[in-house]
Amino acid sequence: MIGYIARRVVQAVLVVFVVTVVVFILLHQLPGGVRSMLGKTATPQQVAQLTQQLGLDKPIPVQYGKWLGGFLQGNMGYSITQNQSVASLIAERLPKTLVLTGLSLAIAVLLAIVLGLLQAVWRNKAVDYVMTFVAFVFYATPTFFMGLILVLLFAVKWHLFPAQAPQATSIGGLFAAGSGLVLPVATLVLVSVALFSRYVRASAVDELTEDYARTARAKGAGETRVLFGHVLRNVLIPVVTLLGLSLPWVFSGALVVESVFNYPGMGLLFWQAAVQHDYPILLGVTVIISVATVIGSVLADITYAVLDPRVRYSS
Amino acid sequence: MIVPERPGAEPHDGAVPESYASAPQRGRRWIAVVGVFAQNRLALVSAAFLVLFALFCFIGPLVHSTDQVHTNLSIVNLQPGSPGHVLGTDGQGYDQLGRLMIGGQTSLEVGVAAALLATLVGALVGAFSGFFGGVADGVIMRCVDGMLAIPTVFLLLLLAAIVTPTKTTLVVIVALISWLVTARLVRGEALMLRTRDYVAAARSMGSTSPRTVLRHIVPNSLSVIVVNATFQVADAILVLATLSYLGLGLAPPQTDLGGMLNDGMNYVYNGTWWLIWPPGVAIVAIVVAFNFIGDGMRDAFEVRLQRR
Amino acid sequence: MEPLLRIDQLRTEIGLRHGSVKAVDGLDLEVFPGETLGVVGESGSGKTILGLSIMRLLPSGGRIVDGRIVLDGQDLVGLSNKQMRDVRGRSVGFVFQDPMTSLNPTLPIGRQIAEAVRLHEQVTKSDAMTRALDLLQQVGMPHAAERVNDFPHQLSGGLRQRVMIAIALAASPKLLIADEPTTALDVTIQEQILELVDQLRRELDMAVILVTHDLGVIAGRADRVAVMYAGRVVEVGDTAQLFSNPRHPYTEALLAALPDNAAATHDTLYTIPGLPPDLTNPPIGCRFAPRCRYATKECVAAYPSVAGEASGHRFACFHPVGTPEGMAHPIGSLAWRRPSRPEAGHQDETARRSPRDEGRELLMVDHLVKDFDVTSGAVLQRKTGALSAVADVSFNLSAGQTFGLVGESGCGKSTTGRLIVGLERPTAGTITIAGHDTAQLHGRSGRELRRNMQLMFQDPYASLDPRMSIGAIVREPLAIQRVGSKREQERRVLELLDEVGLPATAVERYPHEFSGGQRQRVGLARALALNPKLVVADEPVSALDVSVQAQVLNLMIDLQKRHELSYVFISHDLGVVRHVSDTIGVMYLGKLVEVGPATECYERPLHPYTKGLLDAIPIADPAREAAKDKLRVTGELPSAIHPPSGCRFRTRCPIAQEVCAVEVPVLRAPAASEHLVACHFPLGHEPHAVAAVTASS
Repeated sequence: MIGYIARRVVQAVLVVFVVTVVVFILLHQLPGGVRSMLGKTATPQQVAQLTQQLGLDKPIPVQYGKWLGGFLQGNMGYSITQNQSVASLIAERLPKTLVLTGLSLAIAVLLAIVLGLLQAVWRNKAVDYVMTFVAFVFYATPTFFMGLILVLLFAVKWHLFPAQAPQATSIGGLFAAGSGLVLPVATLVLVSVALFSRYVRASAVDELTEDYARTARAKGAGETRVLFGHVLRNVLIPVVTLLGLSLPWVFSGALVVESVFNYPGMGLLFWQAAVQHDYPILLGVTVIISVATVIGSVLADITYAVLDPRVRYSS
Repeated sequence: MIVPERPGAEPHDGAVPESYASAPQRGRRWIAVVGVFAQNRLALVSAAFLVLFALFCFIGPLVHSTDQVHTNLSIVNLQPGSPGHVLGTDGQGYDQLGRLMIGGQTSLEVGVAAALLATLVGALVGAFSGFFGGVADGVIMRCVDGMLAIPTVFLLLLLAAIVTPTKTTLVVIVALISWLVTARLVRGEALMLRTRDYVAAARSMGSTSPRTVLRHIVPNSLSVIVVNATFQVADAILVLATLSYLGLGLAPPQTDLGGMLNDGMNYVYNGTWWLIWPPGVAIVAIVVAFNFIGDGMRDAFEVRLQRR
Repeated sequence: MEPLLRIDQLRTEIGLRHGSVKAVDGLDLEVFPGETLGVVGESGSGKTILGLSIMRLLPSGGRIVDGRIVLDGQDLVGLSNKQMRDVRGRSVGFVFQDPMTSLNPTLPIGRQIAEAVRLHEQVTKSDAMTRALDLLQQVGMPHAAERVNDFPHQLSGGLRQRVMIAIALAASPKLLIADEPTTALDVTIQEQILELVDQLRRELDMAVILVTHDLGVIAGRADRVAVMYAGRVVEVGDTAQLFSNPRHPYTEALLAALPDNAAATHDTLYTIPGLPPDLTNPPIGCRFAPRCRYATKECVAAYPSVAGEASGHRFACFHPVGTPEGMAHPIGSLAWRRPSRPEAGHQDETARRSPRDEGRELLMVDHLVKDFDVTSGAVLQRKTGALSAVADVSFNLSAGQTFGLVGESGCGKSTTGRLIVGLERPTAGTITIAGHDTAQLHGRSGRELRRNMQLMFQDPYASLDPRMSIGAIVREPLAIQRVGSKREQERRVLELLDEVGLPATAVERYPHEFSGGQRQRVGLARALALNPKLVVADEPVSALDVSVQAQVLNLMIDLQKRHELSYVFISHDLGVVRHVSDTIGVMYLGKLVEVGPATECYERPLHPYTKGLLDAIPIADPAREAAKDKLRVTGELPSAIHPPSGCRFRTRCPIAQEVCAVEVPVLRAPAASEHLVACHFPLGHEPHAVAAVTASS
């Protein structure tokens, strides 16, 4: 198992390397570049000077090497539009995004397991069909539209929750204004719950027809016992992997949610930077978010290896 | 938005050994597939809905001709039911019903084209990568993993910031992100198929690798590819909508359903519900329909596979 | 005696998308306390559904439509689901076919057994675990105490099946149903498991229903036998009586189709024409009538009632074998062994009998070695060991002859086959075909050379591309090798289909429209398309039912005679191999341990492993089976990554001595004959001189 984990970590490092290369090259295609930083009135000389100053006239591999060296030391450069280092901006925003995604993911997965198992128990009955239909509809709803609907209903019409996320600077402050978290989290939960519940249902229905489930019935076990004593573990273990794989998707959703609710996380930062062509922020945030997803999926794989005896006890 | 991996296939209840169904049965496999698909009422209704919606978008403008190029600030935000404007008008004075038609056109066109492009590229890369394995496969898959690790919307924003959005560039951008999932899926299929005896048989007869991939691996992954392509269309339409919402969609007077929804959100507190609900419901309905069709096809193909 | 279990007119249906399959359709059966009842039938006969009906564990869509299942005076059909749960495990234990999938992969085996205990007895968890350990010891699990916390994947198939048996016995049931308990296992392991079940039956005084397709398994183990066909019992009786004097034509035909029972090697086997009926819409009359050589109008019109004899031997037939009616179509016991082309092969067979005279060897395998790398390491996959799949194998094969390669799973026989056709590259050694070294098998000349040898596969489902029509499949080798124009290729396809006995209409149809046997014919047609000199057939009939297996074997032998083909025939079934082969090679863990003329190897095995293998194979003849003086192969197959030193078989050999661990035995003839053996102590001979070892030790 140690070998498996070690291999997985090495793979992850390679993946992160690919990410940095891809993002670096993409960003070099950004139009405007230096000109947009200086504004329309800049003279060609000024542009050339800044270009040289930032090292942008050097070949891409050289620039990349320089950036990577800095990045490994925690230096991601300075924001062009905000007078702050990228590292400090990220340090301020990342925890908030993690709170949003972590909370949503935890709720979504728990909900999905319950719903998926219920559907498996009631498979091919009316309840199952209705739940499947609803799951599909939620999944098909664009995140921003879902957010808008929730705002219209719960904030505008019924005044139950605020339409704006808390603007606190600290995590504690976020939770202190907890009611502001309800709608952003609910949005993310609703659009992602279908992803997991469909999986849990399909997997549970599959496992219920497996030979080992039949063995359990042949022992004299009832359906409840078969479901909870035997099938459940076999269903849940792969969910961990799915969780890891879904992280990029959840972060995407979080970006949209953050922009809908003006939630001060990485997504909002990134969106504003994209609109303003703030090159260092775009680079830094993309890399950090990708590293986060990669770490997440490695953790998921390790958890899987620990949970599944077939991996745990393999030489 | 792109789903990392679709939930596992719907299991086929009641696996009855082939021998019970006895003697060889006549009938072409496609007929069998279509037959099972037709039994899935949801999928059938979805297909019918999509046909109707496509007719509405593409034939509709011939019946209900409106000016969707010039703004007309004298008839801004008219209520539905106003003379000549069944669904009212939007903030620029465009007829909302006519706008729904051209928005739907864009969404369908871009969604389908991007899905097709992504499927073609992804299927070929995946099939060859999985079949050959080894170092090339390792390199390709690490690159795919790397691209997949960047959350879709972040990648989209980067790409969209680089190019000016037109229908063509949107197709390319969306396809550039979508092919990764197809590639990984088809690679998995190829890994499994390459150990099949008929592939070994072809190799032992002296079949070259490209021939083996194109004659055996790709055709046998076809059901997976087709089903996935359907889901890809749904995802592409969602991605497109999200792009428009983030302000990186098509420039007016062009629009897609997401763009209309985004425009409508500017007036959301004015109670102009007709600017939000028609495009919003249309997006959800189209995406749900494609998903149901994909599900129905998966069932249909699997029955055939179950009978082998 | 009162029966323990009595089944009356049981009808079980399985609902499909269209209609339903009448899997069990009016079945009567009795099981007496303490006896072993063998239920035998081919796939689709309803034997498995019968077992599942008793337990009410039918696949979804399945339901008992009618009839009674009376166990100990209680009708199970009327019980509620809750009451039924009490029957399962407590009154009836069940052992399933596939031990690989029948245990929960995420729970330790001890807990899975303890669960079965706790479901029926009020005991504490630790008491249940103690019972589980007892049970594991009872079923012969080696080092049981250390194994209770193992997970299923850490155990071999044989050991997993022991765990399954322990689970089934946890609540001491009166009846044990074993559904093909050994089909997924190797013969030597099968022997161990069957012996265990038998021993436990005696110890615990329970009745056993042994469900199987293998007449041999039944012959050695059952007190009584019930033969099933198309959802009904067609004949039931005392084992010895039924085998020696089968009364139903189906039973008779089934026995006749076994290669063991053929008069001589290469003889045409008896085959049952046609296929079993469609059970969604079964015929009114006798279901076997369309395939029965005794059938009359009467048989098609009505189902024969079950007639009995005083001895309890009963059968459902209007014209039972051995009665005057049956004799109306006289087919003498010898004549039916060769119903078609009776004289075809006889002449040239004698010619073929003297192989070595021809001199020219078609295939020469010389010191063949294949190691698969075992890699590990986090970053770079370093080679950390080698799995020795084929270790120094040499043999020759003349044109027109068959070399049978026998051995259990993991012995390297399939790898040898793949090496011969060039699907794998040997680590060392050479393979020469028709004078050409196959190492040169690349480029254009390599492609030409490939025409000489073709491969035929085991699984008739996986070996044909489901997306290609039969025509395209058979044409594929011609297309790849660019032989002739498209028209010529299409003509050749028709020719080939005709040759393997398939209609020309098959061209446009797809594999899923054909039965397993028919698919194997397609595979054969494809293999023959390029007029190869050599066909490597890897378990070509092991996925087929006995009656269909006979059809394919006959066809293969027939084609061999017509085209001077050579076969390398790979199989785990010594009976089948003996039937088709001129020479047999027995493999064990990558080594060829014995090579010799087929009959010689079969009748006078020299290697203890060959003897053990032969003894473990159940013969469908209760008398012979009982008379066997068995050499038992114990234990499990060692790992091929660290094969035992010296003789690889020594760890399981009952006659192994010190020298066996030291010196690798070489293949040689103990007497002046062509019968070679790699053993220091060949059976029935003086030990080989082991001078080298005695000198050094």
